[in-house]
Amino acid sequence: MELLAEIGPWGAALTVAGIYAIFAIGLQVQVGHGGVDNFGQVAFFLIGAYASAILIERHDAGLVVGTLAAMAIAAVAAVIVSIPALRLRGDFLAISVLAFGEILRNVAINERELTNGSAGIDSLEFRVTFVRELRRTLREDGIEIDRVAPLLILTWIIVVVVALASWLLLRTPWGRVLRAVREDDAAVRALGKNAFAYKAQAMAIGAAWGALAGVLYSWHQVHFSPTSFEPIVTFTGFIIIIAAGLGSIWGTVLMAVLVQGVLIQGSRYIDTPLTNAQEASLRYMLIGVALMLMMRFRPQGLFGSREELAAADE
Amino acid sequence: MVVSGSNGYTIPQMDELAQAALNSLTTGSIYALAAVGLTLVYGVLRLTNFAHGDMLTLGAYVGYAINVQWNLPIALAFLVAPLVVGAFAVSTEFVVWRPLRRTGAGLLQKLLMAIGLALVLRYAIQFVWGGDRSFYDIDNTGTVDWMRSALGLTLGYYDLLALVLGVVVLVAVGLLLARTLLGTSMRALSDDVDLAESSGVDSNRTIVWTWALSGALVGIGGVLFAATSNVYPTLGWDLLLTIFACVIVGGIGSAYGALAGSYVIAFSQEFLVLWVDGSYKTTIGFVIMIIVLLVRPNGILGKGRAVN
Repeated sequence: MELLAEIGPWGAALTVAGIYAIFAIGLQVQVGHGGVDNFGQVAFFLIGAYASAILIERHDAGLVVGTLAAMAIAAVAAVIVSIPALRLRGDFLAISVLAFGEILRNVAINERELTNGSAGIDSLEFRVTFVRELRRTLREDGIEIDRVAPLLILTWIIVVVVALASWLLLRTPWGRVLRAVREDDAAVRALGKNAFAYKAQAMAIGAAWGALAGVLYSWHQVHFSPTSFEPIVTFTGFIIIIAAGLGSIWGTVLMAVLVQGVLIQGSRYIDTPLTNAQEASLRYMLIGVALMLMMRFRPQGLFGSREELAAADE
Repeated sequence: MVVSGSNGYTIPQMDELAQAALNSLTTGSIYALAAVGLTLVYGVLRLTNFAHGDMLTLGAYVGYAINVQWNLPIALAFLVAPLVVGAFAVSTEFVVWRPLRRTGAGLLQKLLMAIGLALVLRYAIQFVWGGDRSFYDIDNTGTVDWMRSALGLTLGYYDLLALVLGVVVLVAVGLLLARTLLGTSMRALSDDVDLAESSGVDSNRTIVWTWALSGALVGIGGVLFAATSNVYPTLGWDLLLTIFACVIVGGIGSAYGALAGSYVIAFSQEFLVLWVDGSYKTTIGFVIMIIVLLVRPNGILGKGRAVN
């Protein structure tokens, strides 16, 4: 238990990595298995963070109810977006869902009564009330834990649950039909299956995972603002799922740790003679270069097969 | 002047409507400079270039380097920026796009490659010039006198320049497409690659010139945007979805469509902000794009298919 007394910056980095793992598993369901190039996954991340913060902080919904409600709202939003977007061809679908995310971010900036605008909004319940109670109770039993330990542990329990649930779900007949829709939706329609419904369901499940990641992110941040929901979040998710190989759920967990935990969060603790702003720019350039090199030389990812990528393209 | 109606809505006055129309002509011209290049590349290569907005930013910062850092006349920026951005665009063809096409890359691969390129360019710009908002060293408060005295409208000198330069450049592009061999080749490739190549169109050469033209146009657009407002590293990325909206509303792949779409989006934004909050300007563009995708997915003049 001494391990949990002093976690330091790597604890926070691993928490964020876990949050990205959940976010990217959602993308993996949509892109890797459903073949829907969702460039707007950050929209559901935003819905999760804002909806849960508003419900829990202002309406006393409680941590569990607030989280489940946020996931449900995101899933419904995903279905509503799917109705027009899934009719569109690849590029147009990608552009419209990207625009959907940006519309939500604009709303979060402008609707100050609901979201407190660019100043941002608090999400204190978990870190302040819950964690304080927990540490007090444990201290009475003589156990000291770090402030960030509860969220770190909770996040990784959720990562395992989400990964396992998704992995099992994708092995069911539902998962096989979903992949068949991705490969040839005309053939699946000819068999009497509703191709749209399968893709929309994949969108809804992925959106719920994205929202769950958003809830955890809001608890990690304690205070967050619309700048946390720029499209770069979605593209970091894409880097993770491409590196993992499209379709691979467990690879996604591993790559989330490598990409988000080590490359992005971990690199903050390396000393360079550059200013912080320049380091941040370099980090994003690195993401871009990594993405370009992968697309050029290893589009199937480190563990994936070329067939999955080609199939996801149709 | 705004008068509040009895129902609480504000009713715009004639002069406000006229001012909005004038503003949208200026904005529309800048949008068009960006949109035409984006749509030409799509037409010829079937490539949605997510780095196009950041090429606009590059143009704006080349102008900044010339005008502010080296203290040279702004006119020079209008010559150098299109050359630099055009050269950059051509270099991406050789370094990135041609090798990628040889691998037989699919849609997602091309989209993510463009996203990667956009990130590298944007943050290289931010690395070099920093993240702050900057202004050109020009007096852009001056307005056209007769517009103000005769019509009561405000038209900045640089807005006028954007309008005139935009129209001149776009007419030149229209002539190039309609009258020259290059233009014919570009149109042939965007109609049918195999047919064009078997008819003797040199597709690689045409593609290189398409990139050059696309970069040059958006480079001028960047300088004009920065001259009429300001410049910051995410400028082009922030504008990109609006430019997509212009392209899609006009019908992707069609240069004339992009031109029409640009003014449609600019007019809609300038008029609707008379009723809704100005910060929703970009959202208005996206919403119109999504409506167009739903009711007329091929746009005003498009031939491309947006729907499965």
